[in-house]
Amino acid sequence: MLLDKSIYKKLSDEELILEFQKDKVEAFNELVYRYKDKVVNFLYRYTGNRDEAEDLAQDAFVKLYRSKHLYKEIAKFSTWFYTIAINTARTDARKKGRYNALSISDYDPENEKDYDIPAEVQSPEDYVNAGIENYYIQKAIDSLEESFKQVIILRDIEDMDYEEIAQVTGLPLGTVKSRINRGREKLKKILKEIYKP
Amino acid sequence: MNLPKVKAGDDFLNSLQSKINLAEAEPIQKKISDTEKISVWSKLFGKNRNPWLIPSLSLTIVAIFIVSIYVLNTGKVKEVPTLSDFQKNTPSDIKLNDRVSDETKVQEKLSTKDAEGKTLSESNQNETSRKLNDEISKEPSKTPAPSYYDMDRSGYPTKINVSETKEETGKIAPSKDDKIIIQEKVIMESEKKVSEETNETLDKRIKGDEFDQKITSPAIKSEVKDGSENKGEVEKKEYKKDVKKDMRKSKPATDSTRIEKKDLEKIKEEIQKENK
Repeated sequence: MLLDKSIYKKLSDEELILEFQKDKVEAFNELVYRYKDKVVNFLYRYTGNRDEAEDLAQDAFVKLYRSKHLYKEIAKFSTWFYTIAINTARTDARKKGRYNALSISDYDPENEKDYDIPAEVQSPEDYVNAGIENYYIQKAIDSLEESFKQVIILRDIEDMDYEEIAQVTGLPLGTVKSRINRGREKLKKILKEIYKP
Repeated sequence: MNLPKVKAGDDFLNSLQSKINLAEAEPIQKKISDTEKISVWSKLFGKNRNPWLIPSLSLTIVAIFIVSIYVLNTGKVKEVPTLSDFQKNTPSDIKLNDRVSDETKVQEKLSTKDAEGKTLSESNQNETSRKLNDEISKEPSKTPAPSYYDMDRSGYPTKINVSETKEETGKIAPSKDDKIIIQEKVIMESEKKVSEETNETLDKRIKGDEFDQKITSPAIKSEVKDGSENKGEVEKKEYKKDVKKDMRKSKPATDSTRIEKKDLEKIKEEIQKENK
């Protein structure tokens, strides 16, 4: 039985994916409409590049399209889909062999080490879109380690709760909390260095 | 953090649609490639080769090899000549067979034409056949006779011991060709004599017929009629005596038994010399 497009808008994410598992393409279109901006924003903060973020978001949707039968109702759709997006970004980063941010040493108050500022030249588009402040915040996030970066993005940018982050990353809840705290401290340290007079 | 939220571009959905279309096309291509017919060589040596084909092929090759060897060997065994072939093909045996056939021809002639010399010819034939048999037994075959093989009922050669054959015969056949030639000459002479005898007997018959014709001729009958009966009888006797005398003069050795004995003695002596 075919459902009207307006009906799909009333359905939850989990109901939509269940409908899509029944080969209802309209359900998939509704999911794309709901999550395209969120995923692009998340991946932009994760990668620091908008075009790359859009490509990765499209790849994540393609994975969702092809592996729709793998979803089970035990988890939220948003958690499952963000997991797909993060894994897509990781594999892409691994393929390219680089992280946008150059390596930065672990934050250690006693043995404080120097860290590198990202060497990427600021593009005019990024500058216009985000502004100088946002630009530096993004660069600070990019300079974070992988393990800290994803939890901070999911928590402070995507506003996920700890449990969802734990489900997306596959980490224990306590680990997620500690990593978020440590990541925030690192960010402050980096931003202080940037805004030093 | 109060960072501005980045939104997807306008072409996001179009590019996503194109990527989805590409993703849908890939499995179809894979299905088509799977359904494509794979050639035999690719099955054997290509990437899609079946591992079970390797032992099966090797076994079939070995089986074909064994069968071919078996067939070739059986063909060779069939080609081995039999003893009868040896007898037929050896030159000495061919001569002997020809002689035997000549003998049979002579026998036929004698049996049809000679009435009186029938017993003689039979005795002569027996003697010549004996001689030939003795010669065959003594005469060595020039070709490599199947000394190590004896033929069984099936026609295939079977191995026998040489020592057994020597014990059975008690003789070792001479191997010189000269002896064989001499024996052949002797046989030829005996055959000539036999043929001469047959001619003599034929002449006798012819002359006997002439004598009867003379007696029964009208001239003699008229003489008998004209003269006394005694005169005619006397003339008959005289004529017969004259005929006998002529026969003795022209062919003194009319008694074939004497010739045969002499010849046989000669043959025996020669054979004994050869054996010595």
